[in-house]
Amino acid sequence: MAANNSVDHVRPIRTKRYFDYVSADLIEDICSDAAESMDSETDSSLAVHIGSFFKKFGFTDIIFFKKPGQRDSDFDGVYRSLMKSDGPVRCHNCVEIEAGSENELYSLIRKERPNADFIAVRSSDEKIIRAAAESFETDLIIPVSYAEKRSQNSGSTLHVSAGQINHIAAKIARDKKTAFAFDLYPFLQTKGYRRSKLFSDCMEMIPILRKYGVPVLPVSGAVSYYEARGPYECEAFGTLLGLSKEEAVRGVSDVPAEIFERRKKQKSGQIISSGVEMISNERQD
Amino acid sequence: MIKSSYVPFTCILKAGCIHLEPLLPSLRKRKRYIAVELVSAAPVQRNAFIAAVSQAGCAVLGDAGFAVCGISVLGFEGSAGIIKCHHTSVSQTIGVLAFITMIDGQKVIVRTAGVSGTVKGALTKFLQKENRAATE
Repeated sequence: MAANNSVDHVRPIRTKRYFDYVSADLIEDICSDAAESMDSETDSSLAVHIGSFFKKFGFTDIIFFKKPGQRDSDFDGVYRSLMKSDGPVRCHNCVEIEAGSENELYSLIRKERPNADFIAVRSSDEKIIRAAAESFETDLIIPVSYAEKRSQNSGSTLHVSAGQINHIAAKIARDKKTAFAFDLYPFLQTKGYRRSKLFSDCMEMIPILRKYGVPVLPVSGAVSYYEARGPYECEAFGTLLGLSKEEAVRGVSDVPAEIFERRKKQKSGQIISSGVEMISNERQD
Repeated sequence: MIKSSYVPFTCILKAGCIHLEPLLPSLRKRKRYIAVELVSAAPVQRNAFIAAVSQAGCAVLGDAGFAVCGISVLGFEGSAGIIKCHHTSVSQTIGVLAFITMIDGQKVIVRTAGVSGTVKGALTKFLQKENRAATE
């Protein structure tokens, strides 16, 4: 028997994508930090610097979220060049909607959908969560809302509240292929009882979402430089919430990639409407 | 004097102290070594880092949960270190590290570089050459 010494089979290259969901305000923070060390500060060089910052953490794709109607900052040129460039990290734009009523939510979704790669809805109100789940245009639902409250005695504090979901909202979200996201940011901003309450509220939702097969994304949701976290940390945060290791890994990599590909198909006209997809355009006479 | 028949395992008596024989490798808890890198504006002291890890661990997992995970800082110098934990609680340990936001009053990011089964692996694979002295 001839011994086959030469190993000529080629291993398939694993190209896993790792996503994170961060605020567009983070760009300003990273740029101001880089300004001290960099000689020339062009938009493209700053965009490369931001890309390498996330690349160092291990991400391949970053979703930058903005609020609807958010004013342009001084670093809007950097944001635009980030979206255009094919740098070390692919960047996607997202609009995070916080609406007071269902009608306001639907009108904001209609307005923002054509320009956004992702649409996220942040609310702790059950009615808004249900309305967001019913919309085919929503990609992510974040059931934790926070608002900065300023008091004269104790300065500014972050008031965090988590919503509740039921089996009906979960079923609808599954049918509409909407994912739920949980961000680390409010957990970092709270302490003690408030954080444990937030943990327990989020942990309550996980078994319901798992039962109805709704994908869950653990993300960092960073707003400033020192709140950025890597994919390992996001996965670990997911497991702390009650996800299994596989679910957490899928939530960081595969689920957002699937959402992005679906929206790409929709933009190109391959998906005609909800549930109707053009697989081949060859005619058979 | 303690009679040898009263001691459950074979013991070596040295200056009045009982030294149990080390546990068999199959009976020991399996460990994992997490290589971490610290991102901060100014250097952080080793003791401050250890205190921050234990504080975050107790806050996130509770005292009992922290004990179950067996988290301990093996070495830390400059901006890199190695953290030891049980092999079943790697994700909890990384989760605890994600919750560290401040050390000694300055903002930090504790970035997980990788997880290895040996100290040597954690050093050679994930930490740079200049940080190899961290655990020495």
